[in-house]
Amino acid sequence: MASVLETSLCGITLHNPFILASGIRDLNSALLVRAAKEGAGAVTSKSVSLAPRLGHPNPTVVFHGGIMLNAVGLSGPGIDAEIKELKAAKRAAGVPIIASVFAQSVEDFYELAYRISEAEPEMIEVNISCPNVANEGRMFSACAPDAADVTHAVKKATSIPISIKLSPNVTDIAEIAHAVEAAGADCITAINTVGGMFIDPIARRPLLSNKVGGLSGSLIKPVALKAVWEIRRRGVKIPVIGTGGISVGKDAAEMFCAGANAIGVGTAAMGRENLFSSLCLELEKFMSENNYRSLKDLKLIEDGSDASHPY
Amino acid sequence: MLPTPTKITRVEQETKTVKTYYFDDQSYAIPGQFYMVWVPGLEEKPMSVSGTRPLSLTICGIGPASIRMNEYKEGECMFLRGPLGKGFRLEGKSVLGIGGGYGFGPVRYALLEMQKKGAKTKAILGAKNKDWLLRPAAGCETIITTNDGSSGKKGLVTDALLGLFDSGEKFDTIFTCGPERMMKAIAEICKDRKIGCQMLLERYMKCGIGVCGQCVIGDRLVCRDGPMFGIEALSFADFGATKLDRTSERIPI
Repeated sequence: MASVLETSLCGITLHNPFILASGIRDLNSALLVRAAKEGAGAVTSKSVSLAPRLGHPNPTVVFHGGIMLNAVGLSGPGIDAEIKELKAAKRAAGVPIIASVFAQSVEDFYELAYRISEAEPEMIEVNISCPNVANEGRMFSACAPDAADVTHAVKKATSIPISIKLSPNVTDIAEIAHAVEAAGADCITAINTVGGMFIDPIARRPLLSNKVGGLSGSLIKPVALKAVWEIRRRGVKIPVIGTGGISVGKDAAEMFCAGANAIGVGTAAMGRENLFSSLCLELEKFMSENNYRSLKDLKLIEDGSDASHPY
Repeated sequence: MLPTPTKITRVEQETKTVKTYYFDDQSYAIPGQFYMVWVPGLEEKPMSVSGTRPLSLTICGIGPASIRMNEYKEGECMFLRGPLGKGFRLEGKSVLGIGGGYGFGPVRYALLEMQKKGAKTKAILGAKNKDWLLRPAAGCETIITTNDGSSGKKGLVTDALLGLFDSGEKFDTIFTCGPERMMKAIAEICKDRKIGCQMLLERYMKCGIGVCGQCVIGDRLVCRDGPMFGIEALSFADFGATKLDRTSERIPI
């Protein structure tokens, strides 16, 4: 009998809905396989670029007061080495592999998607939280036409399902979600980290060498819930991998209620041993205690109130 | 945990390039744990603890950040966050510490902690030449080896280790830190003789707290699952063979 947690995403069967998010403990095949062995339903590789990248100097990650701030700078080995790692992970992981890519031009996104398909990942995550050199360095994720252009290009390059990873650092995330859905995206990953910074007033410097970075961890869960809920409320139909601040099983139940189809887990993987198997047990227990028979039961009750009231 | 400015109370010049910094900080760290040392505006690097109460860090000036750290003077502050990572298990009645070069810093601290627990301690301190020898551990019989014979016996620490076994010495645990091939050779000797071996491994480390994965060895993270690893490290295909560079491309050690 299939587990109550078994789910399907773009035709891919996941034995549980918890997916290792990109950028956390995932920079080579050994770490992807480890997360799979520790119970992840699927694993996402670290976003890779065409050429090798050094990333930023330290400090790159600071964890303080339940929140993490990072700007690692997407260090990575480049596409050639990545294809080998993904092939090795695919042989040994036993769970679906989501290969994450990022580029600074639409053309490079096309080439990356085309080339990474050789490794036959089950899904390609398209990380559009990076500057578009053709648009004065504006983030692809910040602008619906740019996000749609990348989606079009990647869809042309590959037949593998693609998920566009959206940034919360925008005025209207649902508008971007609509644009990528219309451009052919199979799935959406929401959200990437929330922009922020820490400053040390004794050193009189930002703590990160990159000065600004992305916040993650349990404190951003409300931001992620609202983003996914907004995307659903505004009628986006493709699946959403709800990501941001999920650290215990009940958090996942909340994210399903917001409208997610699967759950991305990142920062929590740093803090909890056996994270994935714990999340599964907690979610199963929560569901059985509250008489939910299926993940489909985890949805909000529509009571007709107008959600567009001001705060 | 944020970097905390911590006052330097004393600086000990151990070799031409290695200094031990003592801090106005009474917190405890297990030998083998490390602190991230931030040089604002430049870099942040992991440094192994070489003593506590007061806290001390032994820093070898080998790159831009560590050379800058070694310019700090008594009375100034370094920004520290830690202790981080998993240190030595301080077990055993008769223990041997083996240090290669500045790797002896944390081994020396482990030996002193074991003495406090009443264990019998012995040390092998190796270096390429006499200019790289750290101060030995007080009250601990120490065999010195140098590659060029400029101090102690000419040869490798493993020669001295096999010599100890040949003369009938017995240890229940070996603590070691130094070049990776040295540690691998020691681990193989320990495996053959069924002796506990605890090594402090090193990789290019970035975040220091188990997030970025940069310091991966096998499927473990040096910053979080280590830096202390036991004999099981011999099962990692990359141990003593390859490591990831700063982009995470795999290169030979």
